[in-house]
Amino acid sequence: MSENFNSFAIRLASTMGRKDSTTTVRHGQNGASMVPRDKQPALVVEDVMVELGGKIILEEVSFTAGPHMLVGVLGPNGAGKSTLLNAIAGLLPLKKGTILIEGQVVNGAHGQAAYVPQQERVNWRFPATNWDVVMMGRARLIGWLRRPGHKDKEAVRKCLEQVGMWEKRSSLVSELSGGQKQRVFVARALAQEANILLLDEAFSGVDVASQEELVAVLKELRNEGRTILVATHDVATLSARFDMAVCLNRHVCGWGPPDEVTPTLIEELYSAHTSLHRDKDE
Amino acid sequence: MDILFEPFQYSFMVRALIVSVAVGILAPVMGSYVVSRGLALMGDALSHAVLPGIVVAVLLGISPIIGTIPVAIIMAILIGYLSRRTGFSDDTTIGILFVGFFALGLVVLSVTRGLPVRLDDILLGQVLGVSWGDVIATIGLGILALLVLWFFHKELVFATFDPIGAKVAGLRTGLLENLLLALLALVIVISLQAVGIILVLAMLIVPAATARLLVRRFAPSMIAGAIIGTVTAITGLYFSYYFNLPSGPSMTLVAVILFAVAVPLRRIITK
Repeated sequence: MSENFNSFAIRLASTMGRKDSTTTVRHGQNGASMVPRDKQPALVVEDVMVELGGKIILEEVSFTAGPHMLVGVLGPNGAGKSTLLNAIAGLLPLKKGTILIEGQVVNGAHGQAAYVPQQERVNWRFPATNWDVVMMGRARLIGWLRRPGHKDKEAVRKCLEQVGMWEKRSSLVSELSGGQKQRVFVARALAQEANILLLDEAFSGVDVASQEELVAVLKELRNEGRTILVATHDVATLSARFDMAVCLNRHVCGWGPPDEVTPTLIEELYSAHTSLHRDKDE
Repeated sequence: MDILFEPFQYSFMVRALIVSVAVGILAPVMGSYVVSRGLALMGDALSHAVLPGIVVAVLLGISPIIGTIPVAIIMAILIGYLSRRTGFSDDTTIGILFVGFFALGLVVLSVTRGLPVRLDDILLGQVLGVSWGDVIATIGLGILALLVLWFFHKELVFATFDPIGAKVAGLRTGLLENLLLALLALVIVISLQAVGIILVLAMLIVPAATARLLVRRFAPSMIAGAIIGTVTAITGLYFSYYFNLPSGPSMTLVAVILFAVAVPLRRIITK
């Protein structure tokens, strides 16, 4: 089939009076085999089971997220939200099931996803400026033993501008407010050039106004085609902030638009809690 | 002027100067990581744990630097292994191995009498006694350590600041962790000659902490630390020569005095 195609392309090229037939062929083959990125699911989680220290944390977790999607991962403490994000990031071995990012199996961390960690897991003693933090996202793209080049510096500038932190590039990240810190980490995730962004408890310790700023940045990135997963236990703002929601309580107890998912599942998720107030976030 | 140059008519002082400057540069550069990762206890433990290595090296008549490297590496590996195996926190396993190795060294030392080395010099540092072989080993290993730190700077920085984020980004953080511990062991072993087992921690953390008070960013603070460390080492060396002090305590005192000066100075700078 490809031989036919080749000869056809060469004939076509020669009739058009062009010598460079190889480019024509390459274009043709690519066009034939490539699934447009928009049609391919960005993230497939299939029957995932994760065990930590002999305890099953996640079981029978399946869902598929496309590009252009801002997903809230909802669940009470201990529901496995962080574990799910860690598994997608490739940090945890799966006992069962598969996770695909843009068609590729996640097998150990290979930089397919970018990760914004919970704030308490970052070493704030380290004196990094916002510029330094975003440049860290370039580490793998720059490669071992190499120094950042002009392209990397441009990328860092763009990413900082995109989250509105360019003016503060020389400030120490440890001196920023919670919301600003999150935006710098989002910029770092962008600098990594991954299409999947994972944010673990992005809103905890962040005041409401800054939460909205962060959401605005995330929506902009979603519009550019990225898939963003945010772990949260804030039910009240779910539908205003997210396109889709995964309700998690060891297994997936709901997956769909937040409006459809939440009312029916609040019962299961929070049956142990008497109040639905957003007291945990503040 | 004579006071400055007189000591260096002796070749032992020239050797001491070279080793002191090497330690003054190396220890604070490495120390920047120790300070920002909270590895002070680890550094102290590694320096005490190499005592058996020094004793064995002296027995065999080889450079103490060569003798201590394997002990430091075994110690670093054992800490990781024991923490995983027993579930104790790192500082507990570090503490256990720290005293275990140190005691082993002391026992070996007291059993083998008539060694051409004084315990005082090992514990407190006697940079005036280094040989040309030590000088060459110091320069060679020192350059190696600086090159590795230079080439892996961005990865080590990422893994220090945000180990999980670095791992997700595709960096091999476990490998980087081991690399950093190996470098720490190397720098400690080099520094032992100048400041001795007990006070290695002084050169490792004090100039680096002083630099951190005065300089905000990490890489520039490493350079500032190296400058402060060099000044500390050379000043300490003069005191050691003129007042007949062991080099470790005299360098340590200089380092701590500079730190004490930097604390109020930082107020003025940051205003």
